[in-house]
Amino acid sequence: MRMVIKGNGAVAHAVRLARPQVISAYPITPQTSIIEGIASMVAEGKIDARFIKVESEHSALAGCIAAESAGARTFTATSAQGLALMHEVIHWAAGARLPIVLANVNRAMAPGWSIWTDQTDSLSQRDTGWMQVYCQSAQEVVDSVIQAYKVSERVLLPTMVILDAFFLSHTYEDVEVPEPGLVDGFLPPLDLPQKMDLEHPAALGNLVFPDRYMEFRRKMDLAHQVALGVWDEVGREWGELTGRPYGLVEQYRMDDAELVLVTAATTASTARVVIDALRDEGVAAGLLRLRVFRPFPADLIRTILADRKKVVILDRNCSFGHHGIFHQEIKSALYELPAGQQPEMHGVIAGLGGRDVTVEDLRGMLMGVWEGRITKPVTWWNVLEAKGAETGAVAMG
Amino acid sequence: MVDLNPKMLEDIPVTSYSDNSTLLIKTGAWKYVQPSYEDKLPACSHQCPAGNDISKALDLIARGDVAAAARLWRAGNPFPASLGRVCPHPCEDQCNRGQFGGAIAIHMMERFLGDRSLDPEFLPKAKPATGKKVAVIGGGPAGVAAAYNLALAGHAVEVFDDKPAAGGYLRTGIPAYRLPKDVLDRELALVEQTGVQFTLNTRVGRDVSFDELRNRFDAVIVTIGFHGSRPLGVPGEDHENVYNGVHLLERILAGERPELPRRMAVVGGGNTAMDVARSLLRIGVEPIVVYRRSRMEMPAIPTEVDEAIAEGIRFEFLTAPSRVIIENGKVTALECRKMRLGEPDESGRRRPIPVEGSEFPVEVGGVVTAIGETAELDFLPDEARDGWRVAADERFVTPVEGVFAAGDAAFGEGTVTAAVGAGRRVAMVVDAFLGGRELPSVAPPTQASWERPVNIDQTVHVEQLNPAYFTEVPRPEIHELDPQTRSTSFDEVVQGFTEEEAIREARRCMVCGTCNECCNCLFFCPDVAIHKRSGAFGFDIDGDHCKGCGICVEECPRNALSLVEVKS
Amino acid sequence: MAIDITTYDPKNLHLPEFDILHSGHLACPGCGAALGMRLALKALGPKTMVVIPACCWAVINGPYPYEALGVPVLQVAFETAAISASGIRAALDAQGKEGITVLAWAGDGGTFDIGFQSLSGAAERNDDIIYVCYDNEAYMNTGIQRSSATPYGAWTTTTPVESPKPEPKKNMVEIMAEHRVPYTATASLAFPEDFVRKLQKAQSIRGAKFIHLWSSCPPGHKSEERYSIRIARLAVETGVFPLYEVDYGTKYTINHEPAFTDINEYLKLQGRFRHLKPYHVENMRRNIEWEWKRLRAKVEMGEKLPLPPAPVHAPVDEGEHTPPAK
Repeated sequence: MRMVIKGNGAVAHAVRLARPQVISAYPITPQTSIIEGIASMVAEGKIDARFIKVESEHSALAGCIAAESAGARTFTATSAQGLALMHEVIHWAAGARLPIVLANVNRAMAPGWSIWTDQTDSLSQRDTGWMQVYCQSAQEVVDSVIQAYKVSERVLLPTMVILDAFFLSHTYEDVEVPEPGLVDGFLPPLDLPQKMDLEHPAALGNLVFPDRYMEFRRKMDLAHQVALGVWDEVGREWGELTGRPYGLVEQYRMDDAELVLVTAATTASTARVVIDALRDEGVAAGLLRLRVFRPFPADLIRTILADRKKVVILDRNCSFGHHGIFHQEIKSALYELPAGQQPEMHGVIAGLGGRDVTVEDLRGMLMGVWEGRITKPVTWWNVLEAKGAETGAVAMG
Repeated sequence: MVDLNPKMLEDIPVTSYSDNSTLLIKTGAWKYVQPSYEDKLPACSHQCPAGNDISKALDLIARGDVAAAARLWRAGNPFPASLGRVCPHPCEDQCNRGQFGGAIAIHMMERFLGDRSLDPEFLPKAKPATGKKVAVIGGGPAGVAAAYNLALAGHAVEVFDDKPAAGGYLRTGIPAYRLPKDVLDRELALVEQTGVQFTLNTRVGRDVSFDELRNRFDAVIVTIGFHGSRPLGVPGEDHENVYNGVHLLERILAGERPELPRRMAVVGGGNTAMDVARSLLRIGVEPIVVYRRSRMEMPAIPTEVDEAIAEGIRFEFLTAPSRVIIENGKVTALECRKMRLGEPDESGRRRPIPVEGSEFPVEVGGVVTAIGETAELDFLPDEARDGWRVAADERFVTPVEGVFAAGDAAFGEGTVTAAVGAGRRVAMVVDAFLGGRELPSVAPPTQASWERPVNIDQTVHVEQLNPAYFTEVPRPEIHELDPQTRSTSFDEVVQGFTEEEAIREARRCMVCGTCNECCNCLFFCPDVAIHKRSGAFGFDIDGDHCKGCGICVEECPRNALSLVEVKS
Repeated sequence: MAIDITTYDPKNLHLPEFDILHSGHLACPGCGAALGMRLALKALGPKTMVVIPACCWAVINGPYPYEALGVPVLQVAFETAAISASGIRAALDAQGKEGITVLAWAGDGGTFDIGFQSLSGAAERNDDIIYVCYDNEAYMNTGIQRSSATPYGAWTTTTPVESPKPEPKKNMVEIMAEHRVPYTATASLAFPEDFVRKLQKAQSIRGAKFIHLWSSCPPGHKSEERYSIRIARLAVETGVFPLYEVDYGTKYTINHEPAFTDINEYLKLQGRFRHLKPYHVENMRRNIEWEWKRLRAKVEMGEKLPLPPAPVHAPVDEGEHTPPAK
């Protein structure tokens, strides 16, 4: 069924189709319209779930963890400060190997207060054991939420489905919302191997001595490796059902590309326009869009970027003191390439706190690199110059 | 179940899913002290001269198993029905319940159990015959108790008594209103059922020689009691109307109704004095009790004194006779002197001192002396005599080989209860002697004969209880005939408990020092390490999991557990 | 022979005979919290699911792959006991699983302090859970640091003897009662029948129930292990810890009238109070008096007040919802 809905609405409809049994959530801008939509659907009986309207994001995810442990499919959504507040239980959900699905609307972290998009909130949760999927459209949001349940429940890892604040969360798009029957056929009911069960009393989450802790963590890491294949497989299966296949990454005009832009989320939509224009101008440009960021498809990215001339990695995030996060990850993935196959890599940090990344910005950074005007490994795009960087005045003043 | 010894990563679950019981973890290894069930001596039993297992029996009653309690009580004591009526019950003075509503009426419980067990089915089973023979000289409470226990131990016992019936002081010294004679007869009949042979109307030294007994028997026990009399030591006491209280009482209780003066002085403050005075009242004589100390110092059982006063008997306290006044050959009065109390003497009681010039007459037609008794020891060889008593050491052993002595004749404890206890103890010693075992340096206490193990070195007083588990419950009233009726009759004054009353009273018992399976230990164990034995009495401690915290010991209401060090 | 021991004068305990808790758990010797759990499971029975946040019990339940409870247990983050219980209840409801008791079992830190928000949330939503706080009056699992449940004057590693805790304990039961939940109560290990009754009463009521269990801790209170019950009893008998229950935040009932034993009897058994000066003890006495005046006033007030009115439901024929104005 085709609908014109916002990204947040796409989340709500996907959740409806995934038939979670317990929803536990707390409002935060710009996530609120997700849970408003879900609240209406639950009230109208369109979602047969218990909705715990908790008193904090920490409790939102803790509620999901408990409900999922008791055998129920769960959902929650949050953003930025809320995600940060959840951080403890973000670890918990993954360590407990609970296939919870969480929608995070990327929003910049305070201070100063900002409600606009920025990936630092979700990327700060990079090492928690969650899977992360960055979406570029409302259609992808619908499709990814549904796929996320399937992959999560196969590999027993939670998934964060991520969408940009406002650019995606609050932008109306034409979306094909699948029929419930199609999703029911795709996504079987939850059946956890280990859960709270009166017939088989057991303790979940108790003390683990050093003699076993590593084994559990090793299994988590192995699950991530397995998940790479599962995302691929599930993305193909979804494609067969809907005509919309998904991979771990998306490549656009990459066949013979010598200049590659690597980015994620909605910036990729803008980038297509720039790539097309550069191609028209005779520059062999291409786009590599990161979609599944955890597990990280390092081998695939290495293969794709081998032998390219120049790669620009656009981060809407920063690991302060050391590069943008996508930049670091791709650099480390390409380290194993022989010197001759290594492309020249440039990181660009842009669009933090919701600053627009325009067609002009993208053309500027791509051509700057292509034409050798940008030589530094990392460039903060379009920010005021730092004249006192060497003396420290810039940092202290 | 999750694999306890995984070999591969596949053998462990994805997360710390744990379904193996912690029972596999032996947390008991942490402890350095451990609880141990250890029954201790309740204050009542500690004080019981007869060695009755009071707390255990009362607990059995409380559970409704009156028969088991009756069997237990009669196990070593042949006279519970009699003692239940005549014992001065020092147990009740010590009863810890005294501080929680009033002492348990233990004497009533004993009487209830004694009456309940007047049937051969309550007798313990005797051990196989040993072939050894024992002579007991004196069929009073000490002798019969010794005979009963030795017979149950498998020995052939013959009791010699110069009276036509056994029972000793129980028969001759205690009036029927306190102890109906059919009760005594039935208890003696039970003793006969155990195989004890009574040879009556036979006085050793007259009808059979002491040496003959020594020759015929492997052991001889002398339990002849006190039967002589002590003189008043005042002029005129050889008058025919001055009577020996023990002998006079014996005649009255035998049914004689001798011609007696209308009013008589009874000199003394002990149980015999009370028994004489109250018996005289019942045959129409007006007794006046003359006692040289005050009421507080009277050695008689206080309730006996209470009852005598209630019956209207007149008492002259702090009064001692100085002469029997005889006019025209007839006693007209007993001249007495007032006394005052001085410093305590060796008995701990304050010594009476005559008040000069305080003589006054107590107008009576006769006098009964009841100021202490003596034994009659003529038949014994010299070395077995020590003044008025039989020479015996703390093991009841006399200087004559194979001859033992117990009871009033040896130690003069002065109550039938103590005599029964002495009989039980001497029986243990003689049994050891007959079995060729080494004799202890001191005869073991009666409690050592109990079937259940008890730490007799520890007595549980109220400080050793956990008061949190007890509330005040008042002592029941004990029914007595009203004084008007009873002063004219020898009917039993005190009415026994019904079974319902006995059970109710038993449930007041705090069962000190004695496990009664209340389950506090079990319920308060944080480690679930105490388990009720299935189909058997008591609990088992799971040493693999008991951490030795000691809560069970502290929360036992009655101190039936102890903490002991873990032996490494 | 079945014996009815209830009629003895020695007030024999009448408690369920079965045990669900296993031996071999890792509680310290004399642990009140371990006994509390044992009693709780006796009271609630095998159809119970238990949530344990960070607290001593997170260790007591045993290390992987062992567990002591014998019923399903979810060990959760420190501040999430209440919401976790709510989450389990929601999951059970969603799956149509009925007749299961969900018990949150948390220490004082996880209740009075870090878990307070989530507890307040569950209480406000009136989620159908029983929340038991076993209160040993400090962060014992981390090595005895003060919590807002630590009493006035007590030593902890963060309130050293030179500067013992200056504030009295937070009154958690009154706070919970003011949420107007159907049932809140205090309980003591020394009164196990009362505790079991309260748990079973809580089990029979739908909605959020809160029970505050005073719990002995030999290492943390610096007391002898064997005195765990005696101290718990003295906490009640001195008036320090009143036993009472509150229905719908309104009807206060005192369950045991204390003997008001001299508070020194309670203090002297615990090393954490050894440094106290007479003025500290006097302050404690005054506070006990004041708290009891408050409590008795609440009892009186409750006697005058009705329980909450029965709800009025929408008529069956007016099924349509009116959407809120845009």
